[in-house]
Amino acid sequence: MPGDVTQLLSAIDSGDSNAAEKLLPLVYEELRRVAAHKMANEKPGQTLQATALVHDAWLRVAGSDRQQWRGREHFFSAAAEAMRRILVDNARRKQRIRHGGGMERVPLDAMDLPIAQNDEKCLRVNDYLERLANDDPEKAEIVKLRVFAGLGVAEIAAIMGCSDKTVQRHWNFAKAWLSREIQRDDEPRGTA
Amino acid sequence: MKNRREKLEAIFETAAALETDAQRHDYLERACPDAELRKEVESLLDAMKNPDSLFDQGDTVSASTLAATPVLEQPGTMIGRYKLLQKVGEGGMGVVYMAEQTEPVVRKVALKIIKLGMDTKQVVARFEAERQALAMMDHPNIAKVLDAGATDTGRPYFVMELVRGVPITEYCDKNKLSTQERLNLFIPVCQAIQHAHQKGVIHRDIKPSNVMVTLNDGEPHPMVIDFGIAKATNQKLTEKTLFTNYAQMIGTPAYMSPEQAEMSKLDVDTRTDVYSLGVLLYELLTGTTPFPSKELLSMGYGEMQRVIAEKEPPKPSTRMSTMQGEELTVTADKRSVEVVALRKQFQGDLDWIVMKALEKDRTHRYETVNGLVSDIRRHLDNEPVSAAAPTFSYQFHKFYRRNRKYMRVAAVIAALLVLAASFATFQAVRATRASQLAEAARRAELKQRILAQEKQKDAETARERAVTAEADSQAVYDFLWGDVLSQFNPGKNSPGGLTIQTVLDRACQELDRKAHKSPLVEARIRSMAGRVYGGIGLHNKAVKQLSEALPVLESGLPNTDLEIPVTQEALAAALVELRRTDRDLVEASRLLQSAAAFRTRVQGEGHPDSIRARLGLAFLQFYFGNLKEMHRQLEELRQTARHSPLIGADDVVMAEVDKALGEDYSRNLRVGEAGPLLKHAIQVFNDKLGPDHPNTLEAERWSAVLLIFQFRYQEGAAALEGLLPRYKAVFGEAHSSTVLLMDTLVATYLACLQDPKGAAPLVRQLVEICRSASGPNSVNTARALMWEGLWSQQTGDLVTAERTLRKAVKTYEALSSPQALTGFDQANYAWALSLLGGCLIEKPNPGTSELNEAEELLLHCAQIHEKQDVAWGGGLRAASLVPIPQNLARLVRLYELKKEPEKAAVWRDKLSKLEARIDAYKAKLQ
Repeated sequence: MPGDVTQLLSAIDSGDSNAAEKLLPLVYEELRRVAAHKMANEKPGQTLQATALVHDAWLRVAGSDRQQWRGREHFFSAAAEAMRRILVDNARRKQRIRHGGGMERVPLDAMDLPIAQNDEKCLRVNDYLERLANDDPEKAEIVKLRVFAGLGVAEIAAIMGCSDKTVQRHWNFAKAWLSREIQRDDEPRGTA
Repeated sequence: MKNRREKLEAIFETAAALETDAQRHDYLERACPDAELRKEVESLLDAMKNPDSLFDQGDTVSASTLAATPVLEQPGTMIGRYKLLQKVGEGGMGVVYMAEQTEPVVRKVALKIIKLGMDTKQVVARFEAERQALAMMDHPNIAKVLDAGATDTGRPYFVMELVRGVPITEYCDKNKLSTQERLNLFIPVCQAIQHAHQKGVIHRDIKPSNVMVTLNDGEPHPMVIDFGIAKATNQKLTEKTLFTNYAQMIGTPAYMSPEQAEMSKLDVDTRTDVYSLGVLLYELLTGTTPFPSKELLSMGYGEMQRVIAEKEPPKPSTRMSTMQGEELTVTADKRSVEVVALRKQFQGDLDWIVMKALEKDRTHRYETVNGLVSDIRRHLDNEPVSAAAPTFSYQFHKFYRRNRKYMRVAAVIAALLVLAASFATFQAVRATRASQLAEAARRAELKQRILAQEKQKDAETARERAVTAEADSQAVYDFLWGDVLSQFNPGKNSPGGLTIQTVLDRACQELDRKAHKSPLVEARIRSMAGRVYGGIGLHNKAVKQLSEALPVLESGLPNTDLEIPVTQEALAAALVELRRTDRDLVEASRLLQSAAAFRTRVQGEGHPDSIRARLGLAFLQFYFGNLKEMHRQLEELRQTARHSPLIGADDVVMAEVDKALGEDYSRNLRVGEAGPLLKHAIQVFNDKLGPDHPNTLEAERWSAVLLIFQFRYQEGAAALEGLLPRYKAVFGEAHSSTVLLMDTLVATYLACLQDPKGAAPLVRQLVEICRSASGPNSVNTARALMWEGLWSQQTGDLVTAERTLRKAVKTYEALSSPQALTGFDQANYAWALSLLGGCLIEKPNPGTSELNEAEELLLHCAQIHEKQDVAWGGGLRAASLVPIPQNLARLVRLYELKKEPEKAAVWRDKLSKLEARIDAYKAKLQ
């Protein structure tokens, strides 16, 4: 399986756009596998470090490959996207469970990310993220890497191939914008 | 609309960077054309000041929260996701609360709120910078720092594992712990600090109130708290902090190291913690700090600095003798011991251990906390401590008390000196040779013959020397006893403690000052000193003494005296270790040739010593880059050894040849041949020399390397990790063998496993060790810098990576002509060139100048590779697995970027040809 991923990564590198779509499910599975493995070795009740998870998945995929410097950015984008889907799916499922239904143990919801702790917020942010992606895909990508994959500014800058400063600038704005939208949601409910 | 959005972002960005609301107001007034836009910016700015909790993690607080309002937190207040329960302490720095965390788990934590007067943003940012390192710490004696942030009032806070206990000094006194019990409690504290150092964290603020003792099932358990906080709050002794925050400083300057107090350019490093641990140990032993806080604080700022940086504190035993009356009785009583006995306890080991930790110059302190712990352990086990080897009577006193078979290095050398003094050097050398011969003589039918040979030779030598030998021995004896050993008067106070190095230095100075009556005796002493210098790694001094001795010995001794080849070999070894220029290697080669010829003539071709001399000669070919020639010589040597009647298949010398040949096959990726040879060598070394012998360790290292060459990276890394503590124990931390092992391990993590996390603590250690042991301008430092650069690159920090790699390349190039680098060094130099080139083309949008520079670097690297290919005979070799294909791939990429497809195709072709060969090699491994 890591082999598949690396093949796809180099396919993306040489411009095959189909490869990008095929990559996501593989990365998704890879993350689940690493997470399950990690959780199996942890005491119950432990949280998973999102950043560590993504990096370990990357190491598993690219670990023995000699040409690792290729495709790193694609992998991390795919991983952030996969994490977003996993967390959003989890949040949806848990909301359904509240109205009756079984509980499945999904290792990834024990993530140390704030967004993994609050299902309602997770779903709301996901909606705003789509809106942001329409206006400004670059900012949306940064938010995804930061909020869903837990990556730091410097790492994001390396992945996106721009300066720390640029990332920080976009991130400041995106953070303020998202905070405002979330707070606007809260206000009417709070006073009602 | 795009235009409007860009404008919104630009105005927001500028406004966000302003410091006060008033400034923002003014700016918006000027900058916003319409009210709607302004409203939008304002709403975003409001949101920025109060971001959603979603973004709490890992974010620095915004500037606006800095305006500190003097609202005090109290029980019940929520801070982030923590609820304050009760105040549990108040220190100089801040207030500590017990608090309850509700999410994601319910638990009690300690929450420390830092007092006003700090730049919250910077504090939190500095903490964030170290967060990853802190998270890696996992030790039973370390209280974890869990979180940090800013309170609503803009003060930084830290959340820690809750430790309920009392400061270690208080615990010891209350429970009247004996000195031994105190030491046993102090050891885990050191281990905790050592663990942190291995993870790259320096505490910087070790003092009793940061070392708490809790009770675990009635057993005292020390916990070190406040990791990362000193760095984040950037505590420094400054005039300002001293006078404005007078109260905060109480208790702190007493534990501050000279480099912290001086505020010099010197960075704080792990040895700063060693100093503070020394102060803590001092206080545990004597009840006072070396410079009592009260005294320090009653001085002016400059005076305080001067005292910490310059004044020698009294030794613990001296402190006890100046203590008077009640204070003394109380101190003794708290240690459950009589006054007189307490002083006695400290004299000797404990005095030295403490004083070595408290050295003003940090290069004289224990290099690591482990060193300190080992000495305390040795003291508790009645072994000699390394802190000082001040008198022979001390060494032997310990030796007899332990009644063990071996002594530590210092003691061995001391014994050697004494032996030499009474018997003249060559006899001592003969003693070692005798044991080597005994090994060869295990084949019973040859034993007699060898003994007869030796006897005959001895008789000849004796005859030739009959007249002068007696006088020589007496002269060496006189010199050593009269001029050197008399300095070790047990009654005399020797400041700083005399080490073997000091003894040798003085002996040599003495010889330089006034020439000895007999030049031959002088040369013998110099030869002996040179060999001991070489043995303790001081190769420069070794070269000086040995090259002065050799011509005198060559002309003065009979041409059968083995002192001549012994000196030649020692000089050659030291020259190879130094290899300042090509000339050193050429000279070493000449010396070894002469030694081998000498030994073959005097001892016979099949004698183990002759084999060893020729083995050294073969190794030299490696440094010259004549790899085929080395291989030829080794094969020939193996035949000679196998057919020698003096050498059995399971003799050590046979294993040495097997090991050398096994290494050579390994480098050529001839796994099938290398494996059995190394295995045999390990087995023999283990049986005959024991598991801790350097030969055993080196053979094991190579068999781990062989795993790596078979792509069994994890196994190889695990084997190397297992060897590391053994190397450190046997060779020492900074020894070139240990450095090489760490180097291999780092290469495995970074180049093979691409695991920068695994490499992180090693990379830091390696850089530090190489810098301090080999100096900034050395191949070792250059290589360590290269790894540091690769590490940065892999952690995504391309800017640092580029800078560090440039430094590595520069260091290599400043080492004199690249021709003076050995094959091994050249391969690494090439690798550094390639990595730097890679760094440049990996930049987001490399410009023409960057691409041109990268081209130059990568082509230079390829040129070195090709030249080395020729030297290796064109076969696959270690470098073919990772560095060479990586460089080829970079060249392909470069020419793609430069839009020169023809050139790209040429390199792609080379790459795929190499890859095909690697695949074939892989297939053969299966």
